[in-house]
Amino acid sequence: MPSSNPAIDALVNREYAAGFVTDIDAETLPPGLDESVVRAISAKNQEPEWLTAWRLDALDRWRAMQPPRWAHVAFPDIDFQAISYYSAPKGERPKSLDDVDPALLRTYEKLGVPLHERARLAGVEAPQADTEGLASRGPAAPVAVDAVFDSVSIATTFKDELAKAGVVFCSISEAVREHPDLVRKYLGSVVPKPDNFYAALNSAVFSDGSFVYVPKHTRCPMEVATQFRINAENTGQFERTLIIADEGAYVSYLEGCTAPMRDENQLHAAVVELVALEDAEIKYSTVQNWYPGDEHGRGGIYNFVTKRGACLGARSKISWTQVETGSAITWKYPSVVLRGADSVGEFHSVALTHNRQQADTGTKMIHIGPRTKSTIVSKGISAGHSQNSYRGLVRINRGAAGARNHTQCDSLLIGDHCGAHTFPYIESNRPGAVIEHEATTSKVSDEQLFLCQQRGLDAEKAVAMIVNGFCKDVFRTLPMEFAVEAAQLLEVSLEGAVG
Amino acid sequence: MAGSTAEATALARRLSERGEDAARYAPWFDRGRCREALAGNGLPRFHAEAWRHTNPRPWYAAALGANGGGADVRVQAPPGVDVATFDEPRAADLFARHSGDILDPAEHPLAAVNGLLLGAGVVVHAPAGLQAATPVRIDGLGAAFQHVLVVAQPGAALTVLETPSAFAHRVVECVVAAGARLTHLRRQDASGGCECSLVAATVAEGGRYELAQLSKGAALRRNDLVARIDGPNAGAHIRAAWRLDDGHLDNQVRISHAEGGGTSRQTYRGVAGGRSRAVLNGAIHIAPGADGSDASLTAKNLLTSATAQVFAKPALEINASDVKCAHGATVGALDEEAVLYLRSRGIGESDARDLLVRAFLAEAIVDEEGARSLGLSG
Repeated sequence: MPSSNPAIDALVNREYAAGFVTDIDAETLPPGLDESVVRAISAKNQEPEWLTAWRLDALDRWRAMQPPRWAHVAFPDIDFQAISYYSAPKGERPKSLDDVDPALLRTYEKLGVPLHERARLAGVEAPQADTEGLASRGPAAPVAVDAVFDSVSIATTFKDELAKAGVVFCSISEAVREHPDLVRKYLGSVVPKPDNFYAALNSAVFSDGSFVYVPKHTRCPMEVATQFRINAENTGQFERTLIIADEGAYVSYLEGCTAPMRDENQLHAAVVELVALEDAEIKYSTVQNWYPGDEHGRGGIYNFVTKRGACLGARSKISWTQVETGSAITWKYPSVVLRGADSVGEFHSVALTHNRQQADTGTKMIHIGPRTKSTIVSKGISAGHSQNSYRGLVRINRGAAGARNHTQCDSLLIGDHCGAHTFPYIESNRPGAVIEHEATTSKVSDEQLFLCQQRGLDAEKAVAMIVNGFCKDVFRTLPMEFAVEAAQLLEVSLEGAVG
Repeated sequence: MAGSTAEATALARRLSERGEDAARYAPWFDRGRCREALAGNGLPRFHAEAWRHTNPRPWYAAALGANGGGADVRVQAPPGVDVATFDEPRAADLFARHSGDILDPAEHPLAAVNGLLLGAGVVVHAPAGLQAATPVRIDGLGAAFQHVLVVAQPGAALTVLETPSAFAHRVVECVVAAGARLTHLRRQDASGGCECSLVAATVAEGGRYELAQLSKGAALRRNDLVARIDGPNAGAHIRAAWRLDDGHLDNQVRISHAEGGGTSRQTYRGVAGGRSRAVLNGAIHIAPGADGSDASLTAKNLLTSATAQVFAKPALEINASDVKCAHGATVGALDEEAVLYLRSRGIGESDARDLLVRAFLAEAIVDEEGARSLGLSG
């Protein structure tokens, strides 16, 4: 958007900070998808036979499926035979942090996620954002990180310390080898292979991702995180994450993602499954900062992700918090299946789109057990020529006596060329259950801007402040490290939105 | 989409065979457009987005058996309002001048079927400035497939009342000119039949379209409504209430603000009991540049039986920034404390519940006769 203010112009032209490419020798499978590719991926991960068969079955099912077309997004058909389904840095997989290629360590250092086992604040090596109010949450705590680079996990920190508490935190390929019973029991139990087109694709070709198991009555001693990085050209990333919280366990999991700036679109189709048993709680937070493409809509990641949690046990709780600022196209509905009596599902989301980005995101809350409760708070911000949609489903099944849902969806529009849409689906089969949904649409008004500017804030800062206030309800639910990062990201993502 | 069920295939075949035969009634009516639309898109099938919770199969079967001809038109109009059936020569002229572009058979396949099987039609025309003293009553149009065109010329004020009558499909096209006011009352009784209808309204600058619709369930009842705000200070106010003891009701509403400065209000109140199923899709669409639009929707549902179902989808599609748009939807049950409060004052339980249901629905009901039609007298 043209601006009369040179300071704003300078900001607009600032680059996507994570847009660099790491020059590293990679071993990449040639583009295309057939049985041999699936077998090759399975062989590289040294998988048992059952998993290879599981993948091949998924491939068969995927072939019979059509990509979903109902989302409020537009993009040319993807040529799935033009994508390479596996790329990994060359050489032996590192056994410990000391074996990791220094170029890779530098990459994560540059992304603000250094892979060493010291207490740190993820993403806030040089905090500039307004951290007031966040500081009161206490000193920085260590975070265990699994670093996934293209198709493989290259390092996982604090593994030993977590193991002392009985917590398993490793890459999913390692979990298949070390904890086959757990993986076999729960893989695909929340998101079945034929759940949808992209989930089926992922089930066939997933290469790495994180695995967390928190044993009974254990509170995971630190936050666990996965940092996803797409580096190689012409590849897709298809990670699979599985988190199991056994009876009475608690875990907080963070997820971050970045990719280089390229003119071509790259596909990211992940599956995340969460399982919470009796009295367990899983808190899952995402700051999604995939490359969003340039101001003309060239390049960027297609983020087509299936995330779902199952509250299997009574009084279990799953809460999703997402801050979506990146990706050219987002198609993502983190959901909770509330099976256990008195279980609780939460979804807190900030989705910001700018330039030509398109997002169709929301959640599904499926109430099956009695007295299950869900809360949905969604904040959508559209700027530039972007399209931002909330799409959500709240379903109360016949057995969900006394179920309760509250949904609040707010949209904020910045500029005249963007769109903000809300598509909530409400389905009730149970008298006595209560569902409430409300949605509003507003804009950053001239009066608000004038008031801020009168008090000496420039337009850009004023918008950032107003947007931050708009998102506060969601940021409050993020762990401190992510809250700071999220606030900074929004500020950067909105550059050039006014002027 | 076509041919997904045996009934749809049979209906499609019958439609293609009809050709000249059906075109004997009102030969000037543009059936080519309907045929093209059906050839292109086919008939909708169950679970397609607009038919997510309503299976159109029973309607196809009913439409196949529906009787095409024999128009017995029962329409009463106050002085000054011109009523012309489609077989009168001036109807063709009025139709050509006023039937608008809002009714796109490609978007509404059942209306395309209606066009091909059309057996009765009437134009209701209120000239400029006319203040009609009493409502135009549409008590019946005879044939199974019907088309009504209502025109309120600039400054005219008119009320149209559709009383319960049987049909397979009825299209009601409403053209509200600048500064005109059209009040549209619809009553739909409990029925064992399959009845679908489409209301398509356009409202010009300063005009106002008001719909008050009261429905009971049918084996299959589907009401589509599309309304377009075409100028500043134009308004569309939709009120719909339903009380289902049984049967199926599907209301699909889309209000689009094509021009800025208009207002739309949608108020829905529904009670679903017995083995009924109530569906509501209520969309607000703001076109790019339609700044200054003010749109809202509230939908409240009561579910009073363990075998009833409610599906609601209020949608917002906003493409302009300077707008005021909001929607809210709830599904719940009668407040047991309120029931207890009334009972403690000597009111029997069923009367207490009836009173509360009546109060709940009241916001969407505009007249006493309407309230009676939903069984809410006294």
